[in-house]
Amino acid sequence: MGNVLELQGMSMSFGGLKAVDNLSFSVRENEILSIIGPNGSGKTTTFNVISGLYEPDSGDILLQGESVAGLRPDQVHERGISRTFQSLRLFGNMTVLDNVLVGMHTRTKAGVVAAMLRLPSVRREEAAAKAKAQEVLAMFPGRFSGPRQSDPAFSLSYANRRRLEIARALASEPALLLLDEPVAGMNPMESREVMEQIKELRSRGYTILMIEHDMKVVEGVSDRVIAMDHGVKIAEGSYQEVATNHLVVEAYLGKRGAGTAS
Amino acid sequence: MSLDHIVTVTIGGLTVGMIYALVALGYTMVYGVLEFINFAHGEVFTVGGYVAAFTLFALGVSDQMSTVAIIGSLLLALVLSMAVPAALGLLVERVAYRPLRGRSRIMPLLSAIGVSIVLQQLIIIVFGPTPITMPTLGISSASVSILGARIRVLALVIITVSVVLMAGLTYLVKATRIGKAMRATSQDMEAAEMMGIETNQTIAFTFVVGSALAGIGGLLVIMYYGSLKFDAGFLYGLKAFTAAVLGGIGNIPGAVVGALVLGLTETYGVSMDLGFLAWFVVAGLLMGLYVQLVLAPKKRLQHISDDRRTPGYERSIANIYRLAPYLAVRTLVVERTDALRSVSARHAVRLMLGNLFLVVTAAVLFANGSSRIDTRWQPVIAFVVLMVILMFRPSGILGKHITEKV
Amino acid sequence: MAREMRLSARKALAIMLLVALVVASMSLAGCKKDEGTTVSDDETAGKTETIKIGVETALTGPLPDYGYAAQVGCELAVEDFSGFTIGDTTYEIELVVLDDKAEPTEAAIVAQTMVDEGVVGVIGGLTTGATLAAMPIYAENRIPQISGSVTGPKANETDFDTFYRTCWNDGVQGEALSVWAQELGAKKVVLMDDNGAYAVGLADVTENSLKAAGVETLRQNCQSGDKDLSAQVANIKEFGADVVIFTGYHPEAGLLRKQMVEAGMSDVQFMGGDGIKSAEFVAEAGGNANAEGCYATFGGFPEAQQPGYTAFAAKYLEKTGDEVGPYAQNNYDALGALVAAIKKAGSTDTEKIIEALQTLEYEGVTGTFTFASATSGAVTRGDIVVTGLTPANVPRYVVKDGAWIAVE
Repeated sequence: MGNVLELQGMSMSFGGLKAVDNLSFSVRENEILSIIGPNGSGKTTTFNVISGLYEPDSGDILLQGESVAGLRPDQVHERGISRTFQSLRLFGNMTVLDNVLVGMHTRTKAGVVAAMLRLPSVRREEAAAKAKAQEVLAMFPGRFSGPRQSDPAFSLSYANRRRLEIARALASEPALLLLDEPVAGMNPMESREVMEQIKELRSRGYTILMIEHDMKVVEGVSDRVIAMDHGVKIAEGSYQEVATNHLVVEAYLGKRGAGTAS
Repeated sequence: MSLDHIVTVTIGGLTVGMIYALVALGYTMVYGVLEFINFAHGEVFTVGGYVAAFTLFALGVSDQMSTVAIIGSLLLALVLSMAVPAALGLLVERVAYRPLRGRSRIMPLLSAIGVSIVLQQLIIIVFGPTPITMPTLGISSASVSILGARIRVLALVIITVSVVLMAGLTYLVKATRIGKAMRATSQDMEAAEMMGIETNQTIAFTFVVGSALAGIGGLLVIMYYGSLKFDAGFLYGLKAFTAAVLGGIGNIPGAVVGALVLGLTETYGVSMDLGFLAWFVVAGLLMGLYVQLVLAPKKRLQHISDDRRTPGYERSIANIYRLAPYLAVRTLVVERTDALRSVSARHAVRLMLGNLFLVVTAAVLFANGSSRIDTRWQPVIAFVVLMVILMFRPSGILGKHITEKV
Repeated sequence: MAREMRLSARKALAIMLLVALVVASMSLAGCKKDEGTTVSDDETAGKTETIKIGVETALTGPLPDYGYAAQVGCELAVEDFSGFTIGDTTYEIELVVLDDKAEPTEAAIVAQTMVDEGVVGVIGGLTTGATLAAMPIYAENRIPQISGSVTGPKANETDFDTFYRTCWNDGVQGEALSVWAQELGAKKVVLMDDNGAYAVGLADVTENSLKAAGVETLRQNCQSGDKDLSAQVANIKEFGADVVIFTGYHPEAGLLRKQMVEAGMSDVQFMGGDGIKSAEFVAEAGGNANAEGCYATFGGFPEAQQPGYTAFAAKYLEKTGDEVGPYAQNNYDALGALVAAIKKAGSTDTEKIIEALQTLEYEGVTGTFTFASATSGAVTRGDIVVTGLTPANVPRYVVKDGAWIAVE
């Protein structure tokens, strides 16, 4: 199995504050790698650097052996990294279907003139894109069926908005999917459902890098786990290895009191 | 007041409104994407008109030419008066706005005002300060008779062309790939970027489309009025901007509606007797009554938790709105302990006073039915109408409440 | 890092642009200084001194053609009158031409600039509204002002002794328009202005005169810069006017005429004041066919009665290759009269020049004239009084084959 993503000594600081310090890890093909760590440990910053929002101060990011460090977010997306957001960032006034279609932006190419003239090639592409979008939405059975697809995204329930974000990220068939706290704010039943769906994504061949606070979910889906604290990787291995690592336990104890990480 | 007078003035108002709309779309699209007012947009409009007139002069267009040649020349002028402003819009965005993006909000605004001044001076330098005039053509003065009114063919052309362009724009924004990218960018630029949309390109495209529409506006104006001055963009820009705000800035159909309201207000205000205008007040009154008697009680009830919504309670809310004058006073004075009730009551009284105002206005207008507003009051009236609309709909006629933007 | 580099490159570019701008503006300022006022001693012919005369005109704004003609008039006058002598001193004239855009706010700034420049007198302004704003500043700083084109009757209601004009006052012109409309058989007249001081003043005078003569009138107006006058045209049509008098300037006048013709009202007589008598009017009205037969009065004098007109027109043609622009000769005379007053005063002290102007009799292109010393009737203080001409001599013009020609 080759490495889909490889971080090599990546550092990122904001005005002297090191948010991520010399971070190295790799994500293997078709695995689910989870990053855990207390708030402010640099997890989301790592995601933002990987998706091109910030340029790393030093170090390199390789996607399937090619550097993506310093590319614009849209270029990173085109190379095959797609993501969801901790705080939902759907396009609220657009319909469910349109949100997914936007996710396919880099996979379609109809030009303006061609689109205005409704050339046959454009019509074919549109039909294909729509079919593909519906296929992605169908991964969440019963959630986005029929007329719901033309509802504006803001009218959806919270859990459905989280699901739609995943669907939007999947639309481009990314080589690597970044999930930022996919079950945040969900009730236990909903998280279990999302957990199953994440596992299903792995069985469909997706490679997933995930940030999650819910240890049940981390335990349930992760092939491997990385723990971070103060921008530094403090542990790596199977869930059991990481959860029992004394540095990890300390980091959580120091931050949030006892018991959370066990 | 005769029917042909009404038809003439209405078509005149629609024509003016459509031209405002073509310019207003550029303001509203750019605002939608960047939340910034492109003050140089009016000058882009002027350039469109100048390019059209200059092209027709360079080709030596006159009625002596064959019909095919005239149509060809007009098409060439149309293409150029879209292409040159589009290129200009692109250039302005690249040079004056993009380098300042992500900084404080005031900087691009100042830059826009600067660009507007520079462009105006450039027009003076290139074309001189005297107005540019259009070669006189038969088609620009041809007219038809509609319901006894003599209407210029060109006015109908302007209305048709604008409607087609706006339909095209709606299709572009709603259904095409780039349109979806534009909408996504306007809602969350960063998220759009991370979903693979090249936002710089999308913004540039927005400027191109807006500028091309303004350019066509310039062409239509010079065809219709025959002349254009270097500073015409200022007035048109101001009015189009007003129209965009009136319709709800950032909202594309809103810009069109706002522009038509503005255009009709201007012409009706000058040329209709008060008895005719009173019917608009009556229409407003009917809407106001609908709000007071049906919409407002319903909305009020939505804010109330289910356990308090007994049938009796619902009835009393409805009564407050229906019998506002008596019940509101009683609620306010006698039963003032019930805070929620008095909120409704105050709301009801406000609505009632609004409707009462409309009744009085309509009565005054009908009483002076045959007289007309002194044209000197026209700007004042237009301003008052604008203020009243924005008072009732702070985010514009079709503007969405900010909370809905997510 | 790359972003920082991009940023610094941008900064470097900005600094370079700034430096270029500063250098450019300094070199321009330098040029100006070289030409500036110098007093040089010439041993053979005594002293040579340069005096500054201001020209407040409107080169942009709504009337660039009028503004240009005024400037040319003044330049021609400088060519003819510069280098006059008082005693053993030769005076060279340097013009300070400033653009007030025909806007009151700009005019106040221009007037202050003139004061700062230390001009001995000002020719202008061009338009009534702008001049009203500039006059108090000139009066306060005791700078004489002679306008060749401000016809507004309100222009000297304030009775400044610094204001003079070499064109008719609109009190006279409005009367003339009213008389002419009645001669054309007007029964129902629409008067339309552009809300500016000049247009409202002229329309008021004309309307009052028409009403006094029992003619039915309707007043309309627009804003300067308006393009669409369809509502006003519809009103005119409904009123059933036989004569329309537009008292503003030619851009709106042209549009009004054009939209009237397009609304099928080409048989309604169209008249205007001096603000529409411009070659631009014909183009703005949509060509010869639309403009044919439109009438205008003027604030100057009939060309045939101007003794120096033919010679002046030749000079004007030589300089610009054009026919004489509106009020060019009035501006020429204004500058000539100012020079004459300086000579008469024997000094460049502005107080003495003002005193000299009040009693000056000057023989110019437009005739031999003096300035009224007090307000009486339609004539206000500082108005031109031409020997041998009465208000009845207000010239009349009509468009024929695309050009304004005098009506006999």
